[in-house]
Amino acid sequence: MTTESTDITQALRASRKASVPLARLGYGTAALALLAATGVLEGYELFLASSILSYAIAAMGLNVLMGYNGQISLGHGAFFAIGAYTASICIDHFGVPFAWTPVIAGTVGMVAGWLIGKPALRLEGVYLALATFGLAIATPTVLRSDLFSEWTGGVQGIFLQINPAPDWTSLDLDQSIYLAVVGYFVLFSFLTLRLVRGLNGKAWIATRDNPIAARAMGFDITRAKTRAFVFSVLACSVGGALQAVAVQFVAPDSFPFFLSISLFTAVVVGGLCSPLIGPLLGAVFIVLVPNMTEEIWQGGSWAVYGGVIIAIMAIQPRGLAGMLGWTWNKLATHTND
Amino acid sequence: MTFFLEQLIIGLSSGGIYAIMALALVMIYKSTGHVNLAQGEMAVFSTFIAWTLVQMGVSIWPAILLTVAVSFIGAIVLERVVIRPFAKADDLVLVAVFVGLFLSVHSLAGAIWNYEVKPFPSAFSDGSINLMADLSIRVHTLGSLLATGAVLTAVWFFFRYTRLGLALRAAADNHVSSRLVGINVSVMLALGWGLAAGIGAVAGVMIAPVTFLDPGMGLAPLIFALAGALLGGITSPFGAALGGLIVGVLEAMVSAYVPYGIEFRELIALMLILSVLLVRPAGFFGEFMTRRV
Amino acid sequence: MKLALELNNVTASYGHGSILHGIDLEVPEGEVTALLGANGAGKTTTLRAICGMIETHGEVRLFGEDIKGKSTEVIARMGVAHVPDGRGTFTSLTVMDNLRLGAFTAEERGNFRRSLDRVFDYFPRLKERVGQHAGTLSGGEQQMLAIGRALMAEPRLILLDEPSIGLAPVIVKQLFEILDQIAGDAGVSMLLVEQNSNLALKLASNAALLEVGNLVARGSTEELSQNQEIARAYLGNITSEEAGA
Repeated sequence: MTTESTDITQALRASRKASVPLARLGYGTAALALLAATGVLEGYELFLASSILSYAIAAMGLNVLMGYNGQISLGHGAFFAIGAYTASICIDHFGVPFAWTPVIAGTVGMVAGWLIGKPALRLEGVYLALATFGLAIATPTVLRSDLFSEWTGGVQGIFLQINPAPDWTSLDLDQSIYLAVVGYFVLFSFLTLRLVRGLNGKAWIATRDNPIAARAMGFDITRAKTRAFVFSVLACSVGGALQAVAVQFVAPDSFPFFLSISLFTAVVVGGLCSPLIGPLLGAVFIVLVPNMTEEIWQGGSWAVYGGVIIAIMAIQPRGLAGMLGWTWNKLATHTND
Repeated sequence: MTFFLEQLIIGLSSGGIYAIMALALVMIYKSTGHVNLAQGEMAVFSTFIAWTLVQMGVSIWPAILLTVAVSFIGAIVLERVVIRPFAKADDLVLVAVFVGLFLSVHSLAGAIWNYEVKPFPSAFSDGSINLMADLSIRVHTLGSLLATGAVLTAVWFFFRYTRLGLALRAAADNHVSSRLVGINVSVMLALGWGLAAGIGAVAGVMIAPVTFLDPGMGLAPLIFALAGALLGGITSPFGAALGGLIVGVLEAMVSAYVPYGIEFRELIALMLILSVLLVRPAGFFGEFMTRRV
Repeated sequence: MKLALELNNVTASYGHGSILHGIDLEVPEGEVTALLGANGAGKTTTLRAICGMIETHGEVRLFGEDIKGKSTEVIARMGVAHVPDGRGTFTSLTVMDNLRLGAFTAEERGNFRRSLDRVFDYFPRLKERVGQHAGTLSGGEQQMLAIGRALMAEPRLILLDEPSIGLAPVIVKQLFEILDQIAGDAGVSMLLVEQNSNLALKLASNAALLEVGNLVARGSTEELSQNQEIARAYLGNITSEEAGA
């Protein structure tokens, strides 16, 4: 290493050190704000917030897969469903405290993800999209099946009895659930940022942009792809579990083909390649749009999704986060997304 | 034995529908390199148009012909306005656009015609025909089989023996060379979409009497058509049609003979898709569309 | 002398920087003109510019008519047959279909049989393989098919992009003998892009030399091969006798 490059490295380290406290301050403030909302928001609003954060977690994972690693999935609703049903079965059949169910759901999800991912990852581009498209369509029919109804409650689904936090905390049910969701959200934000900014992120971007060169440089492409996939599945399962808890109900009809499309929409509209803000904005989009449109126009949310997706692809492929990109860039330095 | 034959004919009948939808997918894929995820929704939209015409008093066959014509034109407009601008975009953007198209067409159908399930008249008479001994088949099933067979034959003839068909095949094979021999590729692409939509409309009006008409009608047929197209080879019209027929028969057999078969039809289609993509992505008759490195 | 093709101060680019920097070129009617130059000199780009395939500025005249700005398919219908680099055969279609496509814009459909027979006379091998898919033909056969397809259009001008590339010397020799025949028989004008300058100069009556997008020399093949410096730099050691043959 020449003196020149050492100087540059030192300069980079210095600048990064300078911006890190600022970034950390930003994240810390955001986390506190989320926590504070527990006291400010009530009932239904807390439920909405829980939903948004749950979907945001799922979107974070899917974003890693699609934005950073460039693989297309139209079927992650299946893993969301697996997470949701695992959590429900844990609560309903085994009485597991709800706050722990995402951990179990995540683990089960990862196993499923590994099983499905092994063959699926050998596919590329449109072919992977088609295979996952099939997965999304097949999911509700499997869930509805009588074969598993003893566990899944069949078509009727399962109503969840969720116990709030112990009395001494004086938190009601919505608040307890919300806090748990925030906890997992903060955890996943941390995890996502670390993965994306570290060597993993670089490997993912390299394999996305130029797999041949990446391989030539020594990146293990298969491992990078698998990691991205597994993480996305983990995130979706956890998100699904949290959402099931928030809604306190699961049924096959909660996980239609359109769920996978919604997750896809959240990532694309929120902004591919923005690790945190994109998924969050996307989650807000897919939770609030149906909320606002379904009363006036049944099925209208799909129209909004469709129109917005096409518009964003035409105007600003980096999504809502991309549109906000310049403000973020000024607040904190971060590696090129 | 009779039961088997009955299921076989039913399977071939739905297979015929999957075959022409698979053909539509292949036509667009071959000429543009895109998989039209919205093919099913477009077919459903066309069927709704036919339904409206029937409600207005048009009898079924003229309604179908008119619908095919309208679908043809509508698809050309769609291709020019929505898809053409993204022609050179990369995979993820394209998939997103097709998903967007899927959602838009679906919702538009729901918005115009609402989500209530509607009955749809068969193009053929009601009732059944007794083919032999115990074997009774619904007229519609048989009619559908013959209709889709006719469509497949007509399309085959068009591509094989007409000048325009040759031009379309050329455009599907090689854009640059096509222009060098004087073919307007841009027009060919639009034509490909138009044709695909036309035959999709026929598929729709054959399915609707059986499954009843609602915006969600196109989802399952699409996945079966996709499985068939991949099985036979997404670059081979003949292969795709054959694949569609096989999938139809497979679906009927599984539904009839395998416990819980009916519930798992889509899952089996998915398994089929995965297997084909993993083992022989080009399908039985297709060839690799080489990806630019 | 009538010109089949005339380029005046033509600049062409693929988007960012220009590849051709204001070149002039003349292809006399009824003769073979060779366009020579090292790799990357812009020879293929020139052919693409003529056919309207890329962004072009300047003047391009086809038999006196300005064709700049016209689309590729329109130019093809005006009687230009371009045999691109890489052959450009329709690989999933049969030999017969390929030839049919060549005649797609031919003026009189009645000539189809006659053109077909002519092509089979030049390339008997194609007649043998008429039902085969073009993708299964050997490199040499595909090149023959590509040229055959061009002939089916009964063109006024043929553009040939590196017909010898990737072919064994024996095949190339045969090919060029046939090209010589075609040039002689039909009286068609040809612009031949070739890296194999020896062969090109034997076939052509005049030539032009490109260097990194600029025209550095042009004239009859005798004139060009007598210019020793250029000859040595780009053409190897070729004597004026060999060029004049």
